[in-house]
Amino acid sequence: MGRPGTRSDRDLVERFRDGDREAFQELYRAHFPAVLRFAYYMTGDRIVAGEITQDAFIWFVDHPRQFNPERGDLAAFLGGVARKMLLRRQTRERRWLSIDDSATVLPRAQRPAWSENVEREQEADLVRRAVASLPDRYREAVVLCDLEEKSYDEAASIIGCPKGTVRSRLHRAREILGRKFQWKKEGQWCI
Amino acid sequence: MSCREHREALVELARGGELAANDRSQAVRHAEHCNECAQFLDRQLALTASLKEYAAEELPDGAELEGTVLAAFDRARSREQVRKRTWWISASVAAAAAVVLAIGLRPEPQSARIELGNPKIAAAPPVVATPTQAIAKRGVPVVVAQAADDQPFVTIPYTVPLAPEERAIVSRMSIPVTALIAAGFHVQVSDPGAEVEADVLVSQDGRARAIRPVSLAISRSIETSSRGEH
Repeated sequence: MGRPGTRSDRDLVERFRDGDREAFQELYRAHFPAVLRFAYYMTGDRIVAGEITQDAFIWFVDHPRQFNPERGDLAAFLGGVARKMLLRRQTRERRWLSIDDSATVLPRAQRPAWSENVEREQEADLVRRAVASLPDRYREAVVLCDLEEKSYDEAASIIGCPKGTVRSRLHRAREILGRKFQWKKEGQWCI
Repeated sequence: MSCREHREALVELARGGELAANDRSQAVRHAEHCNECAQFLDRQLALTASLKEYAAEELPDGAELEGTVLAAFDRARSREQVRKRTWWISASVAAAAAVVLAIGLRPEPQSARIELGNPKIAAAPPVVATPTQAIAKRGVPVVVAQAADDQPFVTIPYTVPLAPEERAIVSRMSIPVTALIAAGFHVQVSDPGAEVEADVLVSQDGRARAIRPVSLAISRSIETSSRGEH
C-alpha cells in the first residue's frame, strides 16, 4: 500500500470525523490506489477488487472512530479493513480462481506462436492466477511483502501476526510459486 | 548448514530482502556447489522478476468509484444530522415532560397516586365550611375548601409528623365527612353520609398523615347543606 504522510492523515481524519467532505475525499484519493491494488492482488479480479475497495471505504465512512492513530497508520488500518472484507467475501462465496499443481504443461515447442505482447499478457495472467491460487495465508504474505513491498513489520501489523510468521509464510509461498514457475527454467509452458 | 536452511537465505537474496552479509555469502557459496539450490535460486530470481512485472500492472485510478463512496459519505452525514436532530427533539420532549411533572400536573381519576417530595402541611386542622353565617354563628375561623393544589395539608391529629426527608404518597379519594370529623375536622353538613374529595398524604408505613380537601363541588355541597340548616 502507499505511504501517505501519517501526520497529514491524522489531520484529515480529524476533519473527516467532523464531517468535512473534502478531507474524506482527500483521504480516499490518497489511499484508494493501495487498497485497490491489495484487493486486486488478493483476488486476481479487477471487478471484485473494486467492490472490495468500495466496501472498505464505505465501512470507514460508517465507522470513522474505529481508526486509532496510536495503533498504527491509516494505510495499515485500511489494509486491514480490506483484508477482513476479502475474508468475509471468501467465506460467503468461493470465487477464488485456482490453478492446481497438476495444471497442463506443454513443451516450449508446442507453445502458440503469438506476438510478444500477447505472450507477456499471458505470462502476467499466469502470475496473477498463480498468486490467486495460493492459500489465503500465503497469498497475503506475497501480496504484502513482494507485490506491495511492505516490510515484515508492516505486513505483520496488517495481518495481525508476528513478524516471523509473515516471513515463514512468505518463504513457503515463494517455494510453491517457484514450483509453478519451473517452466521458465525448463522451457515449458504452463496453462 | 542444510540446503533447507540455505534456501531461506536464498529466498531473501532473490527478492532483495534483508539479509546479513555473512548469511548472504554463505548462501551464495552453497549455491555454487549445490545444483538443486542453484536451480532453486534461479527459479526464485525468475519469480521475483515476474512479480515485479505483475506489480507494475496499471490499475484504475478510482475515479469511477469515488462518486459511489462520496455518496455514501453524504448519506452518512445526513443520517448523522437526522440522528442529532432526533436526539434534540427527544431531549426537548423529555425536558418538557419533566417540567410538566415538576409543576404538578396530575391525572384526574380518584385512584391517581402522586408522589410528593415535601408536601406543605399545616399545623392545625381548619374548619371546613363556607357560609359566613355559619362561621359567625360558631365564632371560629373558617377555611373554605378549594380545589387549589397549593392549599396546605393538615396534619391528622394523633399521628407522627413526617420527617423532613421522608417520602410520602398523595392519594386523591372520596372521604366520608364522618372520617374528617373523626380526624378532628369541623365539618358542618346536615348529611353525615356525604363525602368529601380530598388528597390524603400517606407515609411509607402506609398510614394517613395529613389531609387536604380539594373538591369545590364538595365545598358547595357543604355550603348548601349549611344554608339548609339555617
